[in-house]
Amino acid sequence: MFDQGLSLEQAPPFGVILRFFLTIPFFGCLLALAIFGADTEIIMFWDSPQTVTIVHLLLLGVAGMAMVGALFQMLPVIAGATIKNPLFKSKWIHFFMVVGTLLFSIAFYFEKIVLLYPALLLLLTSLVFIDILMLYNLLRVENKTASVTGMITALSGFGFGLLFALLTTFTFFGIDIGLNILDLRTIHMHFMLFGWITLLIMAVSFQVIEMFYVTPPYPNVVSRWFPLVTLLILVIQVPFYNFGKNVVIFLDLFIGILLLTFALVTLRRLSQRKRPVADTTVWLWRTGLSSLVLSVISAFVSIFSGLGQFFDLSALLFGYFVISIIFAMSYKIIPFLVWFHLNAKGVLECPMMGDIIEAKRTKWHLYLHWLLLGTLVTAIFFPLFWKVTASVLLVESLLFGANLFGAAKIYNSLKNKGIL
Amino acid sequence: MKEVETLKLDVRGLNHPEPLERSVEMFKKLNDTNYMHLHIHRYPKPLLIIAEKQGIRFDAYETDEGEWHILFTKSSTLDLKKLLERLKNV
Repeated sequence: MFDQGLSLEQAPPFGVILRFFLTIPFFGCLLALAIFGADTEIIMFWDSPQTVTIVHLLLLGVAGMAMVGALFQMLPVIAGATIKNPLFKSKWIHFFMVVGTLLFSIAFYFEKIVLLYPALLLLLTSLVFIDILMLYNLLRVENKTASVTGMITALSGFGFGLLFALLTTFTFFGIDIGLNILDLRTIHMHFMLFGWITLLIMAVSFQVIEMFYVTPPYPNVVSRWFPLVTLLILVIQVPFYNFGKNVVIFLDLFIGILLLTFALVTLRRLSQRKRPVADTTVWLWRTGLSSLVLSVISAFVSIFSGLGQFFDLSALLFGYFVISIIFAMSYKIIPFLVWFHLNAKGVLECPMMGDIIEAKRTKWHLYLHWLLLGTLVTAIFFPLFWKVTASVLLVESLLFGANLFGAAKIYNSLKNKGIL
Repeated sequence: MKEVETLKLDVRGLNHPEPLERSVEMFKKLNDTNYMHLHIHRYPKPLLIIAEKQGIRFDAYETDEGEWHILFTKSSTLDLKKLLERLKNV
């Protein structure tokens, strides 16, 4: 009767996941400080060294930590793919990622280019290893659900993103590989933003939206085909950078339509919950997805009107979408894991999940997060406002960190009181 | 012979984490003379991991609608398969 297969080994040690999630607010603070210290007049020049630093602190430091941490949890529990020695592997991967991201950021922010060599060595070693490790384990899963296929697709997109990071680096150091560095940079960004981060968020959504919020399942065409089609478009797009920029733009529009549809379908699902109690995480999902909708619309306006400010708005809203989802997931995952691991140890005084991070604290975070959106949009038109954006982000990251560390403290104070 | 007590819990449609929290609360009432019958809208893998860690036996079946009936017990003699068969025939 019981055919799902169950092994205690499928639950990775809490320390594996906690290590990555507790690092997110640290990079959030660094990101805020980097924005605060940046020249507000050139911050929206996407290739300026300070902006490159800011983008990578967000995508490697904040998003990267969340994505890798989430994969360590999801692979065994959701996909049923067991990673051997997760504690050992997560320790060195985390160390390489943290040091690599710090060196990369210092190299660009303070223009100490010599530091790029160790930074890229550490980052590429750890990220390529993660990519291969996760792909290897996922490809062996027999029951390939939409989430599993989505994760495989996202990790494939990540692989392409890393390849183009390497090619961009070669060109940066003067090695000619026959492609323009700006095009290489754009291809790298496309794979990382859409082929990796967005596809992983999609794959996770297919599982957690229905599971956490008791919604109807996604339409099959969305959950089965959207990630694959998105990645396929990204791959097809590559040669056209050399001889058909109009095709690149046309394919960008297609990707935009897919992302827009995904966001609208998910928003619709969230409004179809059987018990419509909206906690902070629901609002963070709604905020993030609405931001994605606006980001795509802004990108379309930018393409058709040629107005650069709409491109900037689109990029900022996309970043805001990513961090909103990271906050939403963190506030679900961390209290759940504290509760789960304490109960698995038989800790009788284990608090309810809602008491591990109090609702009023996450609500304050939500209000700050909404304030951040206001300051971000304002900063496009009044660059001096970046200082305010940075200050709000710093307070938000500190509060986020306090909430996560509070949960970790509860776990540490009770973990040895189990009766099992 | 002593009657076996059934602790029923229907958590269908409840938002995460209520189904898990309510189930774990009910685990505390389990003893050698009873079993818990959980009716839930999806497969609760984390709950089953906790049950296994706590030495609670379980067996389950999925309905055609994708819901799950899961029986939990601390009794070493209770035949969960037979109880599930009986449940399926109701």
